[in-house]
Amino acid sequence: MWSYVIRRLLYNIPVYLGIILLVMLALRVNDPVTAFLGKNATEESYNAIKESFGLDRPFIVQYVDRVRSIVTLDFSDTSWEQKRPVGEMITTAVPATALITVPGLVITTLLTVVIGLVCSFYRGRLLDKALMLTAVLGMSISFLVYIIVGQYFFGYQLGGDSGVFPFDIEGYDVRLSTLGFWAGSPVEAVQTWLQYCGLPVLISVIVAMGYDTRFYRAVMVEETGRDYITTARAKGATSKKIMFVHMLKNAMIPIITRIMISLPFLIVGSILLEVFFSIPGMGRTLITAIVAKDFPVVEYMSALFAAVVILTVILTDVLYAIFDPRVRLS
Amino acid sequence: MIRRFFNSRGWGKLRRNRLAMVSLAVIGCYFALAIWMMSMDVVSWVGKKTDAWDLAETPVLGAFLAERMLEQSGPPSVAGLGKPIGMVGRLDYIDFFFSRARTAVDEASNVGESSDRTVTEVLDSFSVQERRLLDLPLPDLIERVEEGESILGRLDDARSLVNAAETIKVQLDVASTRLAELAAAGEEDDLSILQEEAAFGVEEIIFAIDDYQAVAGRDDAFGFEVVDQLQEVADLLFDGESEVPELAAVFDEIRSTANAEALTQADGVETLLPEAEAFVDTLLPVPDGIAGLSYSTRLLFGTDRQGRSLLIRALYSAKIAIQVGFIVGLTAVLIGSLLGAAAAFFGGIVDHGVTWLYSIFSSFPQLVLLAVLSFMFVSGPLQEFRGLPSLYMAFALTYWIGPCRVIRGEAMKIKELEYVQAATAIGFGRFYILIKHIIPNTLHLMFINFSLLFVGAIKGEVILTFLGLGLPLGDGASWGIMISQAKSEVVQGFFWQIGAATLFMFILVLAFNILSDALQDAFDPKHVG
Repeated sequence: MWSYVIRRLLYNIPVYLGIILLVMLALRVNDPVTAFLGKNATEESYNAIKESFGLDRPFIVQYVDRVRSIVTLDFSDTSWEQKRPVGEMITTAVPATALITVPGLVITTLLTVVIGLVCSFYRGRLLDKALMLTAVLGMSISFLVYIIVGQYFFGYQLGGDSGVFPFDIEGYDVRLSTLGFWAGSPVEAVQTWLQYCGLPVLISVIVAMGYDTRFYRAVMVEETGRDYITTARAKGATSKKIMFVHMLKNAMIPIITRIMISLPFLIVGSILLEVFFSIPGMGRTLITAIVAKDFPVVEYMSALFAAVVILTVILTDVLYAIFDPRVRLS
Repeated sequence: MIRRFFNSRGWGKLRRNRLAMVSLAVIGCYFALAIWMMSMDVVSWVGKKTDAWDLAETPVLGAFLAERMLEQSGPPSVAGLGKPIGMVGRLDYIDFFFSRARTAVDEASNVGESSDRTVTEVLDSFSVQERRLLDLPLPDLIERVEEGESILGRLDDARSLVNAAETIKVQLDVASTRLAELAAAGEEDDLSILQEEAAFGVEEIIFAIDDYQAVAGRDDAFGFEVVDQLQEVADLLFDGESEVPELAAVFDEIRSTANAEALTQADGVETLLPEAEAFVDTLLPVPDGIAGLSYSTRLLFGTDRQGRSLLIRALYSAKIAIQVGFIVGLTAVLIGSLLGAAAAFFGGIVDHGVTWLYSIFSSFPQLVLLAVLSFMFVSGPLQEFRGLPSLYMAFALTYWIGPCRVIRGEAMKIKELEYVQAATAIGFGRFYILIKHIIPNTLHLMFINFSLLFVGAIKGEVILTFLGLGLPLGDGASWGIMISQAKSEVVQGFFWQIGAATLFMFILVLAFNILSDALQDAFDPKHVG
């Protein structure tokens, strides 16, 4: 197994080099300094900035330099816009994102696996059809609409005239990102979390429901046709037991794969949700950096995302082999 | 190749799926609409180039041209069916149409001196879409406008009186707090400042009452005595007296009068508003018959903040969406399948190269890749492609990965099948086998992927545009632009813009989702998820 992991890692080295190259090239199509300073900058300030960002060196040198600092995990380059080390920006942004994505993923998975089971149990009947229709209808509405309408109803309307709003749609309490706050006053922490993150989590669950329910239903339906189900029925197991014990266990592999695939997004976060709810997470940091032409941030963050994606893919394959002895890694 | 596809079992299965056929029909309608709009664009372009015709003037054919989409169709932010919302909306509605009529009549009466146009031409040029000024001789029209001005004047008075009554109440509150502060003043407070403030507070009430009475034209609406009492107290306070007569009773009296006056005036507004609306509707009548139908259809979903028809904008956006979906789907599927099939078939270095390339692209979260790619077009040398071309490129470069992976896998399987080996043994060339045997057998996967990417591109456009990386928010229309603009309207409770965009987008995306499912069921039944 180890040889497989090492082989995969080696194989991904050129891929990773290509990723960094692609991002750096894409960002240099427009002259970064002009983009950063605007069009009316003097030549001196232009050259000074260019030199201070290290952009006067040949591209290959910049590239090697960037690769070196990424490989040695040296994230100390400063952001052009915020004058803070990129590493620091990332470490402050990750908790904010995870506070939305992790609960979202857990709730979505639990709900959709159960709904998928129910649907496959009632396959072809009214309940199944109604649920699947709802899923398709839900998938056909834009994410943006969910956010805008959700903010209106839960943020503005729910409080009504009482003036008490259960959810805040703007602002964020930075204490949420610190461990001390959660350890010190857990009740207040949960309340604050609900106030700022409750609605984004709710919306992310609603949006993901359609896709995931359909996937898990398809998985479960696939399983119901298997011989072991017939055997279990024949020996007289109750349908509840068949569903939750026999089937769920066997469906674990696709479920785990699905969860693993979405792991990188726990860090990337939902750019849209973070932008709309002004949550200072990774997605919002990245998109602000892109719009503000803050290139070091974009380069480091996308390199980080890509690394996470590659590692999770390898990890998924390994987990696969562990959970399913039939799978051989080669 | 095409005939083989239509004779296949999968197609037969798809045709028996009634829901899929309905979706296909819906998609067909959207395509027909888009093609019609595009061909009208071409016809109008030719007409402009040759100076032969101006399609924008033609009522039905020119209905969806870009310039018609930018035209004002009514007052700003009216709800569906052209109904203005709330007091402000109704006033806007009256004001919009009446000011048009007034300007038209003003210009028409100056015709003789300054303009070489006839009176009818001038009056016609002020029409709001199908709504034209009443067909009356000019003197009658001038009379009508004067009549309207008097109605609007009364309406204005009533409204400003309601406001003035409210002001009096506010000033009463201010003065009573200041008097209370003065009464509670202790040793350390500066008495003279408190006295002065209280005096000003009381005087403000008198001014507010004066304002009200002046507009109302009734000097004694609040009674001379009351005003005199107030003045007396104010004078005392200015003179430095801290012991002043109790004003609570007087204040209560003023407050009840103000409340009563505000109610009467509000009633006046209530009765005048319908009158003014009816007047505007007779001056600029909604035509009967086809023209009236066309007018009310245009306002079916109301207007946006610039008074542009939301229905036309939503339909125009459908064209943009079809364009984006079709071009992106087609290019992405073509690039992806060619690379995938080639990688699988030729193996070796080609396979490694393609796998390397798609590993790179698939290691980014999709939205991040889209954002980085679209950013290339925001400024700099590629800026001239900003807009639709940049959107096509960013999407095509992002979305080719899916079909590439799927087609590569499928082609790998096909390559090992006997008939391909037989073809190789017979001695057919490699390209011949690739084109004749491998690609046709992956055709169903291309269709499925096209259908998925079509939806992906439409939904992606909305998101990118909102993030400021897609279509520029300007004069153009797309569902993304509409939804982005609607964000601030929803807060004010105006749902028509987001509703119109979402409705049309929902139907198209839903049809494509159902079709994708049906395609998958029919052609690729073993696929999970």
